[in-house]
Formats: sequence, C-alpha cells, structure tokens
Amino acid sequence: MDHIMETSGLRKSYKGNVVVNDVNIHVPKGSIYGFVGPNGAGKSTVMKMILNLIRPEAGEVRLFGEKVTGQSCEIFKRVGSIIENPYFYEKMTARQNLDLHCDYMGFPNKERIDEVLQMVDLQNAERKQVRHYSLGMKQRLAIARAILARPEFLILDEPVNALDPEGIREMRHLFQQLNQEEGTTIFISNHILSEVDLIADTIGIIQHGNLLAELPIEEIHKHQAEYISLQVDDAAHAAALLEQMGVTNFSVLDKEFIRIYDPDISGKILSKTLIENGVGLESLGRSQDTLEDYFFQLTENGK
Amino acid sequence: MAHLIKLELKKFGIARNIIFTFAAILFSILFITVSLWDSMTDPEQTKDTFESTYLVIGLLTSFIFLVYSSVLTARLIIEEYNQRTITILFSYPLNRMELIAGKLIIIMVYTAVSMTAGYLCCSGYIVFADRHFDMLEGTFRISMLRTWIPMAITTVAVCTVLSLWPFIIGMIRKSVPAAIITSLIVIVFRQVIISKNAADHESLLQLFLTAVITFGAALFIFKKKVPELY
Repeated sequence: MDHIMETSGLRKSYKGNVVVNDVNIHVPKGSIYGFVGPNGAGKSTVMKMILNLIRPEAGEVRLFGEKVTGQSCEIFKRVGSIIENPYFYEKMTARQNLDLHCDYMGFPNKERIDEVLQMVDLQNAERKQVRHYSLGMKQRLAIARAILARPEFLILDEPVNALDPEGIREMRHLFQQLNQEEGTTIFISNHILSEVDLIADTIGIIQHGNLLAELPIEEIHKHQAEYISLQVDDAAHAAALLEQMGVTNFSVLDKEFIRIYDPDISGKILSKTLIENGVGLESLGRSQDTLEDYFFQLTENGK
Repeated sequence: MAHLIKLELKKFGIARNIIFTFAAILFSILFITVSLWDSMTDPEQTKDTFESTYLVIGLLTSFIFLVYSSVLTARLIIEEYNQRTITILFSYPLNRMELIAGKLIIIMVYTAVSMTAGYLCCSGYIVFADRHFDMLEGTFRISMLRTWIPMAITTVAVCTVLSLWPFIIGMIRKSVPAAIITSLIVIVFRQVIISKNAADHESLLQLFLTAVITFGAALFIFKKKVPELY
C-alpha cells in the first residue's frame, strides 16, 4: 500500500520518562487517519516529531517516502498543520496572518486567502486583529491557515477544540470535502471519539506512548457487537435471573447496567421475567458498540 | 537569506522603528542641550569641551540603542518562543538557523544604522550649537574628526557585536527580562573596560576579542537553544 507518512520505532522521553515508545504508524495515501488516545498518551509528541519540531531519540519518520531529517525543509511545502493551540501574530489581522503564511510557504496564489476565509466562515472578520478573536474563531483561522497552501498532507492536532456543535459539523464536512475532492490525506487527532468515528477511515490508538492498534475503521465496525442494554434497580438479582433463563453472554457494568450480547432474545420476554421476579426495570434498548467501546476495551486491557 | 530577511522585516515594522530612532536622537540632542546650557549659564561651572561632549554622545547613543536592541531581540525572537508562534515558523519549509540569523541581522543592522545616525546628528548639532550660540569651550576644527571618526566607528562596531548578548543570555531560558537586563550589564561592563583605555574606546584587539567571544557564544546558543521549542 502507498503510504504518505510512516513512522518506524519512534521513541521520545523527557527526563527519563518515556512518552512515545516504538510507535509505528502507517498513513495510507488519500485516507483520513484518526489518531486517538487519552490526554497525555503521546499524540501531540508524535505529531511534533512528524513535523520535525522535536527530534526523536530513536526511529524515523518518512514523509512522501523521504526520511525526515534536521535538514528537511522542502518537504514541508506539501504539509499543512495545526499543532496544540491555534497560535498567531495577535496584533495582525486574519488576512495579514494568512498573507504572511503564503510568503513563508512560498505559495504565490494569494487569491486563495479569500477562498479559505469563506470556507471557515471568517470572511466578515478578516480585518479584525486576531487578539480580538474568540478561541473558536482562532481555531477556524488555524484550519484556514493549514489548508491555505493546498497541502497534500494535513496534520491536525485536535482541530475542532473550542468549536460549537455547528462548527464541528461544518469542519467535518470541510475535511471530508478536502479528502474526497482534492485527495488530501488527513492525520487527525481528536478526543471526541464519536467525531473520529464519523470522519476517519483508519484508526490508530495510542496509550502511554504505545500504539495499541492501527486498523481500518471497517475492522472496528465488524467487531462492534449489537447488544441489549438493561437499566435495573438491582443488577445482581437481574444477572441471576438471566442465568436462570439460560443467558450467559452478558456483562454487568455496574449496580444498574447490564449488557446482553445476544440480540436474538426477545425484549418482551426479558422485561416480563424481570418485572415478575421483582426487579425494577428502568430501561431496555438495543444498541451497538461504538468506537468508544472499542477504545475502552483496548485501553483497559492495555492498563 | 535575503528573502527571509525581507519576510522578517514585515513583522519588524520599519516605520515604527525609524520613528523610534528619530525620537531617541531628539532625546539625545535635548539631553546635550540641557547639559551644555547648564554649564554655560552656571557661573560656578566651566563650559564643556568638544571632547567631553563627544564622549557623552557616544555614551548616550550606545546606551539607548543597546537597550533598544534587547527590546527588539525580545520582540522578534524570544516572544516567538514564549507565544509559541515559533512552532508555526519552524513548520515552514525554511532553514530554522537562517530564520533566526535573519532576525539577528535585522537587529544588528538596525543598531549600527541608528547609532551612526545618532552620532552624525548629535555631532552636527554640537558644531552648530557652538557656531551660533558659543555653547562649548574652544572652536570646532576639522582635525577633530581624526579622533571622532575612528571613535565612532569602533563604538558602533562594538555595540553592534554586543547587541547579540541579549539574544545569547535571553535564549538560555527564553526570558525577556534576562535579555533586557543583559543589555544593561553589557553597557556597564563596557564602560568599566573603556574607562581604563587612554583613547576612551576599545582597541582593535579588544574589538576582535569581543567579536570572537560573542560569535562563539551565539553559535553555541544556535546549536543548543534555537531548536529547543520549550
């Protein structure tokens, strides 16, 4: 498979504390790669190493098939990024910041500035100094800057932080549009797993600096089991009744919640049995495992 | 490199800094005027000589523009680190060392040009003031330029080199106060050194040694501290 970015054996530690350990990432060309993990898992550190902002202690990063070294410069003409928070020259306007970005990137088409401001819905605020922007507006402007020079590869570290639900949806559509219409490969980290589930076609899960899994989203969806979710007033009693009914494939989540991984069981019979035996039934419904469930299964096993 | 300097000049704000240079020169002229007027009108004082007034000009210009060079270092370099805009700059397809070197060149050239302008304007002013208002002891002779010009060239050269020290010290902890305090310490240190020299300015050997030590220290900072983002 053609990979636009690969890391092999990437390692980084700070003061003896290993924050990234033997990370091997493979981002297929044309994909949207969701990079997920809890806070402090090492996501931003990996992204900074990809951008050559910090040097790995061991391992290497290959961008467009080329090894990234201290001397790599030209390769970054093809990369757009947002790392950590949206940083700008606060006393400059949005347009001035974007204009400067074009100059530094060696991107001559400044008409594109109007286009990207429109894409992120900041066309009416472009003359305002960035210091007067809200965090959400800065985030939009950072996205505009990242996509301005038509990069082939976008590295986005929590790009929808501070955006409202409407903004999140708009940016999701924008990323999908860039990916589908312009063929931009996107490497995106996000702590909102449902958001990653909606946008990514490949997932990498990192915890404590280790990449626990890297697989296509279809693989995750294949393993996502359907289940019946029960909320009762006495889970222990309900569990005993389920065993009497011959149901074995279930798990008790806490004092109230039970999941039954046997979708063929009739909800009607189930509710009748529980109520007749004195178990208070608060709710009963059918659901499917989400990326979040997969993530927690994986990260809890990794602990 | 020229392209990088051009880009950095956009952030530098040439007009704003030219205005500062004019203001600093006007302040120096005002300071000299007050000093000359005081010694001229006070019967207990003798009038200042051209030599002593020229030394004051050297002190004033080096003080003002060395301190200002530290402010520029803080604004153009250290604040890029503190405000994290350096992560954006370093993700561009540019040589990072050249990028920072470009900023330093702007600061050094600005210091040299402003100091030269300061020397020219203030020296011209004392000649003018003496000719029209007889404010100084003796009269200006062209032969004085034989001392004045080398003194001015050495002072400008030394201060241009010394304007790197706020960068060297300030970058250790990416600290703006450290950069500014360094400029003040450098001024005092230089004053102690030159007060021991008969010519009241550095010898060529001192200038050479200062340049070697300063560029050596700057190179070390380039290797160790410039690539460090945090």
